[in-house]
Amino acid sequence: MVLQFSSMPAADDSIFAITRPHPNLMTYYVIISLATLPAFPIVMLVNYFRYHTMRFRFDQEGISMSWGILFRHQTVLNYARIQDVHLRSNLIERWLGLARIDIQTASGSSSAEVTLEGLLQFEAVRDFLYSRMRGATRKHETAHADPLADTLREISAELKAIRQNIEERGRV
Amino acid sequence: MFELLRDPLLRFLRVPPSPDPPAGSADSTQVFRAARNFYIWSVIIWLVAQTGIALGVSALIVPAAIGLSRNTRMPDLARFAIMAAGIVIVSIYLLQLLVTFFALRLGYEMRWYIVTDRSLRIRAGVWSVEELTMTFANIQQITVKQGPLQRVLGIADVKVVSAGGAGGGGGHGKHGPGHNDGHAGNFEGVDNANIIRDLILDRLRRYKDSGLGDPDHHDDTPPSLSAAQEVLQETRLLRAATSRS
Repeated sequence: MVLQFSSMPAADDSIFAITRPHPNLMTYYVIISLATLPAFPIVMLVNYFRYHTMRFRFDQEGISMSWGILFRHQTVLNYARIQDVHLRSNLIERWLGLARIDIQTASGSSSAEVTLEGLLQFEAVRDFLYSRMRGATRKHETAHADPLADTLREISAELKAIRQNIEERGRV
Repeated sequence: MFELLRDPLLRFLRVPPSPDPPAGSADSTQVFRAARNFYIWSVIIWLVAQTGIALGVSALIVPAAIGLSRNTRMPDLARFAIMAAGIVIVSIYLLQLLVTFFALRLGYEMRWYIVTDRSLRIRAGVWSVEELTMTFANIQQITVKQGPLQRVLGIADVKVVSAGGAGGGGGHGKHGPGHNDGHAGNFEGVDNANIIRDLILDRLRRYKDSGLGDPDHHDDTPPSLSAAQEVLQETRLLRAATSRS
C-alpha cells in the first residue's frame, strides 16, 4: 500500500511554473480556424488573441485562468471545490500532443467551468489536480487504519447476511 | 482483417494506451470493461442506423437510375454526370460503412472503467478520447439503466453523478464514443452492473459527508465508534427481521 502523493515538491513546482499554453495550441487554432472556411479571418482573429492573452496561474489554494482582449475573462477556482476532472482530446490535438483539461465544479452548468488548453503535460496536471480534490487523500477516511473499526464492519456485514437469510426464509 | 488493422489504426489515431489507475491503494484497483454483448448491442444499433441511411441513399439513386434508362435522348454529358454522381455517392456510403464499423469496434475495445478505493476513472472514445476522474467524496448518486434490448443481452449502464447541473445530458449522443457529459460518468454496457453498483455504494459509505461541503472537514467521531454504531443499527434490523418471521 504505497501512497503516491506525499506531495512531491519538485513535481508540484513544475506545475506552479505553468503560466502559458504551449505554442502547439496556436497551430491547433490555425487548423480549426481553417476548417471554418469562409469564417476563417474572423475565427482566426479571435483565436489569435485568445492564444496570446491566455494565462494560467496555479497556486497553493487554487487555479486561475484568464483570456480576452476586448472582453476579458478570468475564472478562479479552488482545488477543493473541483467535482470532476475530464481529459478530452480530438485527433488533431493528439497529433499535436495536446489535450484539454475540463474542470467541473458543482455549479449549475453542465459545461466545464474551466478548460485548460494547450498543455503538453496534461497528465501531470490532471494528477496534480486530482491529488488536491476532496476525498483524494486519506485525510478524512481513517477507517482503513483502524483494525477495531474493520472488525466491527465485518461483524455488521455478518449480521446483515444473517438478516438476509432470515428474510429469505420468511419469504419462502 | 480487423486484427491486422487495429494497431496501425490506433497508432494513426494516436489513441493513448490503457489509462493509469487514479492514485489510491494499489490492491483496491479494479478494472471493468464493457461486456462482449455491449459490442453486439452496438452492432445492432449501428445496423439499424445504417439501414436508414441505405434507404435514404437508394431513394436518391433508384429514381435517378430509372430516369436514366427511360430517357434515351439525354445528352451524353448529362448522362455521364449523373452516373458519376451516383458512383461517388455509393462509394462514400460504402466508405463510411467501413469507417463507422471500425470506429465502433475500436470504441468497444478502447473502454476502461477503473475503480479504486477513493476514486474512479472512465476512459472511452477513439476519435475523441475522453477521460473522467472523480473522487467518491464528490459522488451524489448512482443510477442503473437498462433498455429492453439491453435486458435481452444482459447488459446495463451504471451512471455515477456528481453535484451540478447536467443540462439535458442524458439523451443526446447516446451511442457516441464516451458520452460522459458534464457531471456524470457512465459505465456503459457492463454485464455486472449490480456488482459495480454495490462496490461504489460500499466505497461511498465511508464518506459520511459525501457531496458538497468544505474540504476535508474533520469528523470528531472515531472510526471505531461509527463502525460500532453500524453494528448496533444492523443488530436492530436483525431483531426486527426475527420478530417478523
